[in-house]
Amino acid sequence: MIIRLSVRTRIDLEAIATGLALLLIRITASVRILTPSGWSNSRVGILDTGNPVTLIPRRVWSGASVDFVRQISQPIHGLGSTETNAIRGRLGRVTLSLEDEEASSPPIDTVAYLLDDDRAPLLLGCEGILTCATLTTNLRAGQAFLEF
Amino acid sequence: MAEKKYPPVPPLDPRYVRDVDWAYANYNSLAAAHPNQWVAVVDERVVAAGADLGEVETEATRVAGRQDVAVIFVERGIHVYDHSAFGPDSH
Repeated sequence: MIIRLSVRTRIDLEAIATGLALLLIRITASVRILTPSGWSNSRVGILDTGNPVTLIPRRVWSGASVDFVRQISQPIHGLGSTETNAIRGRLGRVTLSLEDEEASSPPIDTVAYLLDDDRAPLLLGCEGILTCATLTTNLRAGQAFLEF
Repeated sequence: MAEKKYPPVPPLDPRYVRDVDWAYANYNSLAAAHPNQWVAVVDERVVAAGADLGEVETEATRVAGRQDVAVIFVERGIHVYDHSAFGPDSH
């Protein structure tokens, strides 16, 4: 089964002011998370191959069926983050589904960081997503998909 | 062990798809007006923006009258998300 992803391309206006035509590209997917009453509404997730574990903002996971692996919130460090400004979250098990306009993926049981707040977008990491599907990208052609 | 049963996944609402596409097509203007905020788009129009995703989604679903509404996090400039698997005080 193939789920088409969206390649979102924009020009960095700050770079172009210096004469550099820099393209900023994100690959996004439509994501639902399993809740006690069914699947959540659709959310935009950003595919992040540099991210070992999926990150889910609080608003997104707060209504979901969650099994916490760790009860203690811990800092999740990014580039340039410090102990005081790092986002924080707890590891938990959730079930996701990715979809396009024609199909939905099999349910994906995975472990994710369930963030304490909404300061970061939904980031789809390697574990559970890229470990159970084959990612194909052709950014030059604006195409990307996952094959489950 | 019995196989786990899941409810069927609802199909994507084409209005949601259209609004997400519109948001990304107008990303730079959204980033100028609402840098590093959650922005909700309904019928190709910004209906809510802010740091609180809950408030933005609630207002957007109220305006839209449906659950699937386009809400994206609008980054100003280049954001690189990266983290180690476990933080230093994880044990």
